[in-house]
Amino acid sequence: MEAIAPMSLLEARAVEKRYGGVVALAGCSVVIERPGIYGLIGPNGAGKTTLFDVITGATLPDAGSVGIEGRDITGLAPYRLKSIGVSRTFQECRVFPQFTCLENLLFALQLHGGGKAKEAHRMLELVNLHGSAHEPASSLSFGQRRLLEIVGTFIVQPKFLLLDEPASGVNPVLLETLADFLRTMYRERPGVFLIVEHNMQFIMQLANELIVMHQGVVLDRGAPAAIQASPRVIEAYLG
Amino acid sequence: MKTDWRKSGAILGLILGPVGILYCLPFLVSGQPYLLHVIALSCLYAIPAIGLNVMLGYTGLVSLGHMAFAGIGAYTAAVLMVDAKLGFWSALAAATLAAGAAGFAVGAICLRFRSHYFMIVTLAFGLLLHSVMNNWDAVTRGAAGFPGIPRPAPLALGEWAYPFGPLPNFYRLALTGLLVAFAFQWLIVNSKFGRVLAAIRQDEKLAAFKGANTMLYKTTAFAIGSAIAGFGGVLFVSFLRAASPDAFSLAESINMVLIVIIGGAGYLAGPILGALLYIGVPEYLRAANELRLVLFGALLVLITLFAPQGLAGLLERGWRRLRR
Repeated sequence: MEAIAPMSLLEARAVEKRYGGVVALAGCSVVIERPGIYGLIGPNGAGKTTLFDVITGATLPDAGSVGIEGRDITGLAPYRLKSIGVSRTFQECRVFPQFTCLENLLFALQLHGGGKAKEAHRMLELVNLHGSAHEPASSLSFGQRRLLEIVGTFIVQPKFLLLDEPASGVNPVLLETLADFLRTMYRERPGVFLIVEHNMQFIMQLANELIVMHQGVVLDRGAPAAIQASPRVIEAYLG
Repeated sequence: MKTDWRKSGAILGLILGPVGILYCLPFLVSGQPYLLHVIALSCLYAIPAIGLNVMLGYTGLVSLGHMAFAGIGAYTAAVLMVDAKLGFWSALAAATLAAGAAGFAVGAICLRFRSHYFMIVTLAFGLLLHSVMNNWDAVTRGAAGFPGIPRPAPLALGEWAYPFGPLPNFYRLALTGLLVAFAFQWLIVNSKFGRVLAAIRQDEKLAAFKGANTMLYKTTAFAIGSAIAGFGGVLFVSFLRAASPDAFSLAESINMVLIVIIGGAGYLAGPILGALLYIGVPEYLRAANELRLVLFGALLVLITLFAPQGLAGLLERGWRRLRR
């Protein structure tokens, strides 16, 4: 395995992953050196979610390494990620349906030595879910559940946040709420926000930088405007 | 504050009232020893069912080898009491710990598998342990069973003594064992540990990403469930004064799953209601002769159809309607 650069905040180096004959990641390398909101975009099958899974230990890579702040975390068990400040969401919306909204947030705090219910209430208020604080998560609409899922990742104050298609299935009104919430969180606690997204309008207005993946490798990266004008990206993805 | 005291007093009364009645039950049914026998047996079945409820109802682990751990407890106590001449209470504690430790070791292996694979591996372990009980003649006395398991020595206070030989007295011991297991279950469910188990049951992957070492939690739940089963197993063989491998067979493990599901998996009272129904109803259907099991089977199908969350779920639904 290749060494992790000591100065990078988050680094995936030469990561390879195959599922049978399908190559999901073909020596993919991503280095993030500064806090910021990063959009991870690309066509379906580009390897974005697999990269998330490898970074968060949900999938072991066939080759390559993953590092956080100079520490090799390749294959680290998911439950240990929280202690190094990594939090993530999934393509399919995941909340604890039988817990109330508040319990969903407090659960993560409980596992990390407790925390203030006041902060959980404030976060619910930021996404207009405070009225449903004591309702079971199963009673929420899909978009609201998505917001709850995302709020749940912020409650433990992660330094590295990986969101997998947060805008998927969320209506335009809630999308605005979500974008405002993410900006507020970034303003309050700047970290590395890595967001996989297909909703280009949403990610373009939110991200400081876009990383474009194609066929298991990084095709290009840069400011949103530059990416929109990139001939390689236009050919492979934006069309 | 005054209101709080009143509320606490009311809750205490609501708990102590029925418990008091249950302890006085031998006086209320003094002319019906058979009824008391069936209720005592139901209490003894409800204890391992509570252990399984911690695993199945609260953690989502369907074990098909649960009664094998009751057997580990039962045979450990039998050997300690009969061969090593240890007292009942020490043997009970040691057997409970032995069943818990065996549960932890077996759970650590079984829990590497998921869903139906997990069920199959627990079934295999159950068969394996049953086979050991059936064939290790030197220790377990084999298929003939382990006779002469004593009841606890009488509790003595000066000249007053409380022997456990008479049925009413042993019933009270079984009831106490059930209440201990029930209180332990309540403590687990209402603890932080119990919250994590509930989260694992709902979405294990999410619980792991929230920071829970799900394998450790599940293995611990398996060990606790097994320890409770072992505790119940000791009381069971002490009641019957003999241990037989058939009491801890695959069929009994499947019966235990049915007891929990019919009673209401994930409800505190589920295992008790399930045991009362599962043990009590077939006994009182004996009047129907050969139709007995047909009627009982039909009753189980009806419960599954109309009360998919078990009797406890049905009662909860009824209570909610009443409060509306």
